[in-house]
Amino acid sequence: MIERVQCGSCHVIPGVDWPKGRLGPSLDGMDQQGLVAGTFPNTPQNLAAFIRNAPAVKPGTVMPAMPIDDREARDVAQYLIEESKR
Amino acid sequence: MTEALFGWPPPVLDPMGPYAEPVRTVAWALSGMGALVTTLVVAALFVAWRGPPVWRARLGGQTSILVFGVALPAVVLAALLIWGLMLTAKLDRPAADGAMRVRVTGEMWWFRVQYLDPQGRVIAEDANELHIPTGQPVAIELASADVIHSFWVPHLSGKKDMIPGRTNRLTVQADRIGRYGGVCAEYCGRAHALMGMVVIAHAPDEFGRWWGARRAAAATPKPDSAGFALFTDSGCAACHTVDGTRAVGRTGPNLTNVAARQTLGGGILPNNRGTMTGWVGHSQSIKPGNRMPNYDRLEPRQLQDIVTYLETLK
Repeated sequence: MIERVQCGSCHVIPGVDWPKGRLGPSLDGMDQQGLVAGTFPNTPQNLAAFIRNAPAVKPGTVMPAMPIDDREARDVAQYLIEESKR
Repeated sequence: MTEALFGWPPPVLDPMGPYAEPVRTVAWALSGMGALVTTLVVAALFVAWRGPPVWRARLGGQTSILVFGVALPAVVLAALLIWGLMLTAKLDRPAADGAMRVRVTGEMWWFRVQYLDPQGRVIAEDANELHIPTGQPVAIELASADVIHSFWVPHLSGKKDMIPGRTNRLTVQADRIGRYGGVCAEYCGRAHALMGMVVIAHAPDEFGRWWGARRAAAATPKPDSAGFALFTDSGCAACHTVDGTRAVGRTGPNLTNVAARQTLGGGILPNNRGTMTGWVGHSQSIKPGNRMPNYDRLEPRQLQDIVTYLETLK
């Protein structure tokens, strides 16, 4: 999923060699991160909601709504948390 | 872009048209001959090392050297050369008059694609994406704007160099609808490995519809918007053209139908709002060394407006 939409265009993502985009924050260490988008407590639900449709939960953010569904967003959130633990 | 190089069967062994068939034949013949020669050499080594004395003497004798070292290679290589030249001569046959004409220019590090009329005038310009109808030869003129590149869409043809100051000709034909990846096959500088494109083969009537939409995109008047004002004021228009507007830059890809393209960044990213934002804002982290600067000094709102504007260009 991360490769299909290429989240790496804006984010450094653990386990992804390329691209390592620098427009958005690095997502290495999401398991230790305090807040999602500097705004919400870092729960898997909040993370997934932000991943799927960021402007809906944080108006004004540059991150766009992604062309993925709820389930896929939860998978991506889980990946980010698990992969950061390695 | 990796679709040009990976997959099963490997694209180079999976021809989709008559101009790729001989390449597969030659590839298999080369592999077969290579395997045969390797086997013979290993066998000879084994004889020289462990074989009976009579065999060893025979192998080291002058006759063997003349037969296996001179006569056999001369005959085999000459035969292979003649066969290979006959096989690949077809590849250089120019497309018939009246065939669709396209010019593809290698640039550091992307492909400029221009559709030509029968007189060779440019009627539409695109980037890193070439649309063709199936079942007919398409005459491609290959050029370069800077250094030597090489055009390679392995499903459709062999490689051909793009050389500054000259035009090389290549004919391709796709017999099946589909999307075929291509890459630059000649090292051309820092971002060479991230220089790709796609060829999209449509059924002829579907191609006609695509072409109509592409022409309409060029002709549609584009109302001024906040995004367009930013596009021109921030400097985008210095390098990029949007047909029908005052954005007429020539250095970078023409963006008239950028939102309708399948890829961004030189055939390397899928095209969605996220990748578009990442590319406009910080392309240097995605494709280090590319000629577009980062636009990370724009206000978030401005970046969004520019991306929203680009999304209307289809």
